Parts: sequence; structure tokens; C-alpha cells
Amino acid sequence: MNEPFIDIDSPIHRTSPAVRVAVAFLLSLVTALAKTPVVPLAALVLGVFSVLVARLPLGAVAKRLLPLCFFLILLWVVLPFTGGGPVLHTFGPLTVKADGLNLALLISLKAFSILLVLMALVSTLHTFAMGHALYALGMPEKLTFLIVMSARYISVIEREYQKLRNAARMRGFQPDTSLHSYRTFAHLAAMLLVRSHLRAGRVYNAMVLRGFDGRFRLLTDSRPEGLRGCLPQTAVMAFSVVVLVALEVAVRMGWGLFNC
Amino acid sequence: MHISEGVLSAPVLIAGAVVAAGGVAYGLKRMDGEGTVSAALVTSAFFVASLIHLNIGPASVHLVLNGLVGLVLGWAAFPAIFTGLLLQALLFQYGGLTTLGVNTVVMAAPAVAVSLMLSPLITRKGRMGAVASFGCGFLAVFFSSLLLAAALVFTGENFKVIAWASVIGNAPVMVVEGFFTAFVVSFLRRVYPELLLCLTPEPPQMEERI
Repeated sequence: MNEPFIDIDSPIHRTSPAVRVAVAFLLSLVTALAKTPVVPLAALVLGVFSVLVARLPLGAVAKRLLPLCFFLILLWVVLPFTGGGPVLHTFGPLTVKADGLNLALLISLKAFSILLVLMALVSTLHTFAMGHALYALGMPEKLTFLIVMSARYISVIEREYQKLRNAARMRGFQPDTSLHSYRTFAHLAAMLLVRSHLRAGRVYNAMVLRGFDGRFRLLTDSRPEGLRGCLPQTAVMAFSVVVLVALEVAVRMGWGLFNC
Repeated sequence: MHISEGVLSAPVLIAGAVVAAGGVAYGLKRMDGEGTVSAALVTSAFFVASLIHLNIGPASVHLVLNGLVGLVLGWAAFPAIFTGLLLQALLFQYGGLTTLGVNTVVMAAPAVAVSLMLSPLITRKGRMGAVASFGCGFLAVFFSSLLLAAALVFTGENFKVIAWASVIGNAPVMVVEGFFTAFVVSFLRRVYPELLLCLTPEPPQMEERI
């Protein structure tokens, strides 16, 4: 699959995977639960900063933000006309309400900042490193196994799909809006399922031969080495989490300065 | 089908996470070593299949396939869909980490419900089986869109319009999904019936009469 964000050398890429996943999760949580735009705004700044520090290719970043933009356009078309609050503007029968407008703004800020943080901290991980990190953070063994295993085989099964798709194309199949087209794709998907199931049997047998007993063991070198070699980054990330949490607490306590 | 980050309120997110954790834990409990390996590979197959786009007139929709996931995996649909969503969040940033629980419930709960309700009927030959498998695909997406709408409405009154729009907007997807599921099931029934949970024969029961 396309993974443009890994294999870059940056301070973020050198940070321990478990730290990155934990920080990304905590930052997303604080941002998602924020009541005012203060914390999401701070998170947005943090997100842009992390994307720059991680030296991600900006074209790919923009491309991944595109689906979110479509969703937000829909939101901005509907939300400003709902809710209560003072009326800001009138278009014929529709009135723009302050509440709805604020909500749309808040959601957009939150969504963008969370996505940027996620991209910089988590999408920069190899899937396997992420599996190890999740396991280190307390994800059940079997679930980690399921995640790592299916991540491993997505590219293999994607190749199977391309093979089947090419075979169909060779026979002159052109997708259109018809039952024939749907049936063709359905048979293709079903064949994909059959092949993946058969392959699973072979993979399982091979694993049993090598001593698999249903337990998932971590043997790779990329095992999270704790905080060794990434103390400064970890400190900065932990500090940013603390700052955002403190900011949100301050806002909720009604600290006058931030009540905008 | 998923809700974006930053939309839902804390109670909805927490409720989603709790229900999802329960479902995932139960699904995992029902899988043994071999079952986990085949669930993993079938999950990757569903991941790839969900990238297929079908044309509806000038537009195109991508498949949800949760009805089919339910039929093939049963309760393992919870861990499988959780895995799929986590990998989507990681690989393409569709959805994020805080909404993972809600989105898992939105997609997996209908999958399990549909498989429990309709899998006995799928085995029927002829029109009954075809209608049941159409219903599987159709209803799974329908229930999902209702759950999604409920999550939005519980978050705030402001989202009522968007919630209804998403149910109505998903109507064409439900129909396409219904046909797609019916075709897949009819193919599997002829080619590889082991894959449909409900079609696997019961293990032979030892009776006293020998």
C-alpha cells in the first residue's frame, strides 16, 4: 500500500513508537473533548509544527486531508443554519445562527488538528512497529496479532485483487451501472475471500510447522527500546500533552483570559 | 461509513468505546489459533474489497460490506472491523483514534445482528436464500446509517439535518450493497460454502444409538 510517510529521518521518526502512539492518542482525546476553540487551535499549531518537524512530503499530506475537506464542506453547508443563538445573517428563508457557525468552526479545527497530529506521529510508523507499540501499551495479545497479521497480508491480497481485475479487463470488462457489472465485481470479491481463506490455511500450517501455538511473540529488533535515545523528543511531547490538558482545564474553570 | 474526528460529544464517544470493547473482547474470545489466522486474512480481503468502487450512474460508491463480514465472520466481525478501521486510520487517515469505538459499533453491531437474524435463511435454496442475502447487505447498511444518525443526534440537536441526510443519502448504497451481497453469497454457496458460517454443517453429534 502507499506509505509515503515512513522511511524518513527526523526527530519524530527516531522517537519510540509506544511514546508516539500514546501521545497521539492523548492529544486526540484532549482535542476531541475540548469545549472551546482554544485547545483545538493550540493543537492545530502543534499539528502543523509536528508535520514540519517530521519532514513529511506536503503534497501527500494535502492529499490525505482532501476527504476530510469534502466532509467539512457538507458540514458548513448545513450546520450554520441550525441551533439557537443570535441571528447573524439572513438569506431568504435561511438564517445563519451564531451557535451553528461556532460549532462548524470548532469541528473543523478539531478534525484538522487531530488528523495532522495523527499523520505526524502515527502514520510515520511501520505497521509492525505500531503493532509492537499497541502491545506495549496494553492491547490484548490476540488483537495485536490480528492487526499485525492482517496488515501484513493487505498488500498480498491487494496483488491478488489486481490479478483478478486484470483478468477481467483482458476479457473486455468495463464497469458501468448494471447488474452485470455488480455481479462481476461481486464474484471478484468473493473469489478474493476464497483465496484469502485458502491462503490462511496454508499460512497457519506453515506457522504450526515452525512452532506456532496460538501465542503471539515479539522477536523483532524493532521492539520499542523504551526511552533510550529519544528523551528530548519524549520530554517535548509529554510537555505538549500537559500544556493542552492544563489549557482545557483552565478554560473549563472559566479563566477569564481564555473566554472568547 | 464512519464519523469524522472532532464531531461527537464525550458521552457518545465513551459509550461507543465501551460497547466496542465488549464486542471486540467477546469476538476475540470465540477465536482459536487457526481461527485468528483466517480471520486476519479474511479481514485483509475485506479491507481490499472495500476499496472497490461501484458506479451508480455518473457517481461511484465504495462498498461497506458489513453484512457480508457478519455472514462470514459472525461475532469475529467486531475485532475484524476494529482492525480494518484502525488500519484505515493509520494508512489513509479515514477517521481517527478517538472515534474508533463509535465507528466500530456503527459498522459491527449491524453486521452481527444481521448474521444472527438472517443466517438461518441464507441456507434456503432458490428465491428465499437470494432474498435473505439481499436483506443481509441492505439491512446491515440501513442499521449502520441509523446508528450513525443516532450518534449524531445524541451529540446535539444541531446535527438532526445531517443525520437524516446521511440515512437518505445512503439509500442507494443499501440497494447496491444488497445486490452485491446476494451475488457474493450465491457465488460462495456454489464455490466455497465453508466460508459462510451458517452453511458449515453442524459437527456430527454422537448419539447413544450406535
